[in-house]
Amino acid sequence: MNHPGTEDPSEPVNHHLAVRVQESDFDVSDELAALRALSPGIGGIVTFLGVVRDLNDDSDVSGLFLEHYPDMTEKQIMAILQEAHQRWNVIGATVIHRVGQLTPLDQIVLVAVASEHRGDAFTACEFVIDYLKTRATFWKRETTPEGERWLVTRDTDVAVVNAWQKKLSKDT
Amino acid sequence: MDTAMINVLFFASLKETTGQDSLSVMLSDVKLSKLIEKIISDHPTWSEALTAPNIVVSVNKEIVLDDILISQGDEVAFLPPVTGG
Repeated sequence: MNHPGTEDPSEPVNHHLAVRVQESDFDVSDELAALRALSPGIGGIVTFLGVVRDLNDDSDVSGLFLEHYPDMTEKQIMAILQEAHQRWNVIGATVIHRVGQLTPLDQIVLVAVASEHRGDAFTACEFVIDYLKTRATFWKRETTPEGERWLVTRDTDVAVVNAWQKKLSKDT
Repeated sequence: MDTAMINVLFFASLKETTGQDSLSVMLSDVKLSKLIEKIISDHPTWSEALTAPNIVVSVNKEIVLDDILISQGDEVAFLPPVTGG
């Protein structure tokens, strides 16, 4: 199955929320500049940049292949962004997730959240990456000396989202 | 009842297990469980992989938990555990 490039992000309901799933690399500075230009009311931007590691579960990793479900994945991420936007002060947010063949040191995912103040930006950014890990249809296959292996969702990642849900239900 | 063409997709490890990324199933409007039964009866070696407890099914790109009715033109996908980020 082909993974098309950046041309067809899911339609954002709020134009300040952007989701892209793409094979090509991205420039973090360009993305932050675009967010910063949204509004002079932005007081801070928090970014999470995920990078391919060369070690996982005690195995050397020489390559990482990523697959997604075109359209569904983008909509799932947009839903996460919209929830973050409803819960916290989010002036703009960008998620870029790469697919295809990657190698250690490659950038894999960017979550950048612009807000009036750092508190909301930190919290929303963490919420988005935590939910993305367990709620968006991406699949990773690692290349190790023992061969190729598809990864499964980590219990720790599920636990993180469960903790969020407990906390958020208490807050509301 | 019309005979419906249902488009079935397999992702990641399931694409490797089944050796294909999609499958067209000709069936009259059916419940999801009946569709899965039909796929497994046509391909018994896929049974374990498709019915594993960590496999989620989506219909038209929405995850479904109920045994809903599948209609002509619907897109049904088998989704292994997700590992993004």
